[in-house]
Amino acid sequence: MIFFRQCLTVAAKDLRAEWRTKEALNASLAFSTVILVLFSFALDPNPEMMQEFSGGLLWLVFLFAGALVLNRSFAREMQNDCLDALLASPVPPSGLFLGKALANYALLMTLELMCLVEFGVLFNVRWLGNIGPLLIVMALGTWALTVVGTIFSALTVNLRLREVMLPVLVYPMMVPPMMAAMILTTSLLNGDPLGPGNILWVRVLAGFDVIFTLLGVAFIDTVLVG
Amino acid sequence: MNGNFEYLCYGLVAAWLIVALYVLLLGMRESKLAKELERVRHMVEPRGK
Amino acid sequence: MRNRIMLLLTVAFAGLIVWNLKHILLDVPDEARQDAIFRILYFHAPAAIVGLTGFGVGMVFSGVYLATKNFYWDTLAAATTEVSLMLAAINLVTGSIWGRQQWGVWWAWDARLTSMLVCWLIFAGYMMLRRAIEEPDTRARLSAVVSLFGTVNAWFVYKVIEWFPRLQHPGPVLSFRTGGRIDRQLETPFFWMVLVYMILAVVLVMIRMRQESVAREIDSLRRMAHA
Repeated sequence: MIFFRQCLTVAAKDLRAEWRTKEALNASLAFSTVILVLFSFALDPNPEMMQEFSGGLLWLVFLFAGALVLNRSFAREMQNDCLDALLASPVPPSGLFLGKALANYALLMTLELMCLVEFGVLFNVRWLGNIGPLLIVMALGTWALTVVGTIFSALTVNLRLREVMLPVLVYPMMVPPMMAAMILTTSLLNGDPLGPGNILWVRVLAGFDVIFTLLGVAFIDTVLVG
Repeated sequence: MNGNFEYLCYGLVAAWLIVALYVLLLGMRESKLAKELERVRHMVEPRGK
Repeated sequence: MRNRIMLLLTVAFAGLIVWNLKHILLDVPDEARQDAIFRILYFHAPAAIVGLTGFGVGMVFSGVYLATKNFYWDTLAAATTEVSLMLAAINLVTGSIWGRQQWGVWWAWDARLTSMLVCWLIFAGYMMLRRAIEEPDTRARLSAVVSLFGTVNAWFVYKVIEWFPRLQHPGPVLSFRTGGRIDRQLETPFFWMVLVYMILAVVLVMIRMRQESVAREIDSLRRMAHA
């Protein structure tokens, strides 16, 4: 119980800090808008094309914009030795990791929901029909991105080339869950239900989430402390 | 042996070229390390005496 | 002693590669649909096998480092991963050339090559991370974690890309796993080639290890000089 309360405290701290400045959210929202506009110039999407890769486009936007949020996750603690203070606190590193992951998750989901609305408007995609399954897929896929992004944010926090190293490390690792999420999202946006044909990818997402959450919790201590 | 011998040659050459390039990289690293070792040994020796 | 072993292995490698090359080029008959180019399989697939094994072995060494905090294991992990990257590159390039000949495109986005490309990117990130960190303890610790994550992920990558509907081999493929076996006579050079690549990998890892120990000696001498 104490552990969960500690996680929630850390998450609340991060969310409060973000709410006061709204730096990461504004920046990533602006960035995602720009990407969507650029995609529309690059691809000239017609309805047939959108049926093929609406899901792929959407998750690419989430990935790129999400990196901005995830980068700041541990980077914001570097000022005034806040990270050392956090590590010296009674909160165990695993609690710190889960707390930050929860905060990042909330931020990423907020960002993605706003992007989804933008996406629907700019590319004329109807997503309200399958909203339930779509939210499930977004929830699972976003947790995968959050968990991998948070651990690698902790890993790269002290590096000079932090902004470069985080995407270089995270994006190849995100290939399996992104493939699953893209397939599912494309079929859901086309109106297909979550059925026996699709359920394999939901299992892939769930399996990836569980395994990498456990790995993250197990190794955050090594990454942060040694 | 007929037909696609040309591409087979390209493939074999490419494979062993990669190995050769890596060995070359190791060789360059080796000489750089040897020079650095000499330099650092010179730095330490007079102090030791 | 170590130098003698390395020399012996290098001689074994040279002998085996010449013998096997002769066997592959002259004794193995042409395949029905692919003619001579199918011999590239003998360089393409063993590189993948030894390369992927190397990544897994690197992960094990990383785990041992984390458990023992002995830098020897970290050096071994880095050397093994670097050599495996080279072997994976061989797999990608020969696969691309084979694909160009068979299917007319340099990159056909088929499942196996794409999986290998993603693995290569993951472990290239590992090497980039190592170069970005100067402090030995931090470098060893963080790269060990990346190696562990990367290897678990590599398994996911292989399974998921196999199931991805669009990424199927556009043409016929020789696969041991899915039951398409090649003729007994043609199998022997394949296994010899796996051994050749393994010997090559061991020799290169030994050279790399020696370089790393020299680098550590330089580091400690430098600390002594500046003290």
